[in-house]
Amino acid sequence: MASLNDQHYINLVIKGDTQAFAVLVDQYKAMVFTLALKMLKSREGAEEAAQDSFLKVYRSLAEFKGDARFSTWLYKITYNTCLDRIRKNKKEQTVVAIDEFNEQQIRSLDSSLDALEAQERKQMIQDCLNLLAAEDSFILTLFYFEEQSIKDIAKIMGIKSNHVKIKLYRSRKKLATVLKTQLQTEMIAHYES
Amino acid sequence: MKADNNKPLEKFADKMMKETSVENPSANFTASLMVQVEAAEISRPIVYKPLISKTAWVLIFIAVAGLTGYVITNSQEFSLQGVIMPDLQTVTENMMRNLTAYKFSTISLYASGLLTIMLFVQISLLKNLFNKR
Repeated sequence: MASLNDQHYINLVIKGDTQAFAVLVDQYKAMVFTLALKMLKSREGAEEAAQDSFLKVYRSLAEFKGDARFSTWLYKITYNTCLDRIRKNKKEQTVVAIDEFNEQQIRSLDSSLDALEAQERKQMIQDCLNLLAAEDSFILTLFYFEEQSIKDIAKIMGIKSNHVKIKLYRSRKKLATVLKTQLQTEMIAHYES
Repeated sequence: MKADNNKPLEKFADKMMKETSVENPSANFTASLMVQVEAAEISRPIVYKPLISKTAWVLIFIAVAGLTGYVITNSQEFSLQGVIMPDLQTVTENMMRNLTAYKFSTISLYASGLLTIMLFVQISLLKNLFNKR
């Protein structure tokens, strides 16, 4: 349904109704901004990248054939725009080690997280996502917020479906690793104060 | 073992991600973007244009058909053999003899070898250069 609506507005824009593009922007800006934010880790950078992505989409709207969903195409452009920015800035990307977890360890992580206040817990998870590498937080955001299928994520990132599954598994593990470290740091800080 | 660990980790990640939400850009995001959009232009997709147009094909076809017809109807009067078409057999024989008789000097062999090596070196250097851009 959404894609049918999207196509309607795309047609309007191609016919010359520039303002129709604002509808598409309003519909997708939050997700595009979130994806860019997760990759670039700065609000200003993310806002610029999001605008840049929308502008690129607008310029090549006539080339959109509609064989994929508009959102898939938009997120692909966003992903590539952010990758370009990261490459240009040559910012050091964080490298997170992957720890192995057994069920018990995960349970203990879970209960430590539950022990935090709701607001604190939210902040902690946000911090952890920010500590992940661009690709990892991008894939998690896409999978959980947008509920994109593995196939669509593969299209967006330009990799194979199997590769997406592996990356998703590793990203989850890295998230747990970061959380473990964060919780430990928090605990040490708590005892010191 | 790996598969056993996968499920709880997945559930845990699901739970964690549920706690986070989508972020919103600044309030004037759409407005400032639309200003840029108004200034930008939609690029028209490149339309495929054949190298030889339909009229050119028709002209070529007419010319070929006309010539063929002319040759068929007038074939008795003159022969093209030996005028525009040289004897192919002698030409190839001459060529083969000349080619096999040719000997490269050692210097030119070394020079061409060195040139090939330099070419490969250049390829990797150029690749590096373009990658940096």
